[in-house]
Amino acid sequence: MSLPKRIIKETERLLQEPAPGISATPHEENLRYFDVIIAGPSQSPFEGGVFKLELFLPEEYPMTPPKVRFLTKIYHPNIDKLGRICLDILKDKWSPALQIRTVLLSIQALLSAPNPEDPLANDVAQHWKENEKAAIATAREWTQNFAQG
Amino acid sequence: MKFGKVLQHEIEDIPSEWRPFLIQYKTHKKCILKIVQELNEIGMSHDILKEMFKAAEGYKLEYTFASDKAHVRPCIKLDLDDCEHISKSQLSTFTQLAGKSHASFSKYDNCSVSTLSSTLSDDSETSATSNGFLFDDHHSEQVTDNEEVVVLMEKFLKKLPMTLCIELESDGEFFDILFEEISQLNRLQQKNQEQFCDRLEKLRPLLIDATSPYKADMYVWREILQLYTQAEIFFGNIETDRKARSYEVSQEQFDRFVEELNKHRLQKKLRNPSSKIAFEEFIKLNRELVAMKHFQFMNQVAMSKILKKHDKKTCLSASSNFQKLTENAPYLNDEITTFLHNALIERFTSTILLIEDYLCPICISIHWKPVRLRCRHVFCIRCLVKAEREGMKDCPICRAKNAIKYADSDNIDTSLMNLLKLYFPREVKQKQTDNEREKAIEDMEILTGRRYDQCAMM
Repeated sequence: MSLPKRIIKETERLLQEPAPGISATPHEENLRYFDVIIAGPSQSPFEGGVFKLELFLPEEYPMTPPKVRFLTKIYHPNIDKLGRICLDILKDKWSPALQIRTVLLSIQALLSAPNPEDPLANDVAQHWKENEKAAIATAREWTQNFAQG
Repeated sequence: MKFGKVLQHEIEDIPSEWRPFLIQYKTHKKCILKIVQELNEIGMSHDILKEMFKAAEGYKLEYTFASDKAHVRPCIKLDLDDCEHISKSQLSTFTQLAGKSHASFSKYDNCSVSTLSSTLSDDSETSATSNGFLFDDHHSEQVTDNEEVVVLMEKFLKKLPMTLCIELESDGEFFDILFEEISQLNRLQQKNQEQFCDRLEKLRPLLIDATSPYKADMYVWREILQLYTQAEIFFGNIETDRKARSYEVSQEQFDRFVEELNKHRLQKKLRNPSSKIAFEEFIKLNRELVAMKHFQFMNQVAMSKILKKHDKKTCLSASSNFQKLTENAPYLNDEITTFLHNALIERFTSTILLIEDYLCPICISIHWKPVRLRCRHVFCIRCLVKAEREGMKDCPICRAKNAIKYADSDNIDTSLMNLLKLYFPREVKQKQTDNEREKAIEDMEILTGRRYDQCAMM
């Protein structure tokens, strides 16, 4: 199946005008598969980290959401050990008017504002709720240890 | 190359009617020499002043601007407050200073005398004494005898605290000229702005004719505008760079834009006579904006250089204070070129409709046929059909409840449809072809029960 025009247009813009702190590059042999890098937002425990993700556009995209997963280990209440992300727009709140760009911006925002009330990684969320300071310290440590590019 | 020479050289690029307004760097340079001379005459040579600024104990030395609307008057302010801490040698410096500057004071008009006396101590007796000492014209004419000065000064210094204000004639002149030049530049700028806007206004009917969908040039104009936006002559267009360009970059990008236009032979493609005139005016207006930026830049540099020179030669630092006084002058910031550039863009984009404003947010191509949901958001009909098939009911943009579910043929926006057909005939045709192809593939898949594979078809 040839690549829909929308995906071609989105890819062009992503490469020409990357959003600040985000890069997404399609694989040459599969243009629906992207290597993504998100820089840890400043003033978050992930500052200074370089986080790798993979993003895949299913056949039905944009009627179904892209599949996104963290490849870099990260200590975050809404991201589990396998890198799966708990974010409503990637599930039931998906809209075909959203794009790769907006999805990645949302993930970047999630790093700035962890939400332990809606956890995916239960133990991390517990830690975050009980002792936020310590949890943030751990997140910072993990960023130092695992997210250095 | 000396800066004065650089200015002379660069002024060639500036329209001749602006040239007389350039800040007169050389005149100011000569004026600085006069200030230095005057300072030396009253005993405040560069080294002494430097020393005085450094060892300020028992007194405060300041160089400030007193400003009303029409003038700025630079003034060296000496606050003497503690006799004990002032060393003998400094005391004698001040004594001499007061004696000599006193002579220069008496040359001043009543205005400065009155400001000076008002800055003196409130104590009426002190006031009277110091006034008597400093500003008595009869006396001052005769103060040539140093001994007399010293005696008077000693008396005078007992009446601490007090403030001594020294206004230098040549320094005042220096800033008067500079200030006047800036206000002249502001007036020039205002005139240029008005002319520019007039020309844009005159361009309006011409552009409407030139880019009319009933004439041949509409698509050529879109290409021109696209190249223009890509050239990023005055501002960056992308999220990570929206900064204003420096004059040099603007010049460079403008040249590149003209080159691109030639490469695509766009000027030659214009057929309508109005188009040709409008195009030439468009290029001229942009060239003038670049020249404005250049001229502004030259003046800014000339001003900061001359102020730096002033500070260096006299040891009186005016740069930051003077710039604070003039920072609201429209000439010295970029607001006006930004404003004019925006007005220019606005004139063109309001006449030439761009496809970017008529895209379906789902397929990112022209929203044909356009369906307007009850929340007013527009999508193309096929995208909505597909979305509904996936079970989506709400508006994809604002999530208005059941906006898709309740949409029917009445939601097709016919007036928008007519506009699209008129202004974007090529895009509409392409979209129709694409849609038919997609539909055919879907039908075939239903018929054969297999997914369409492009390779197998070929």
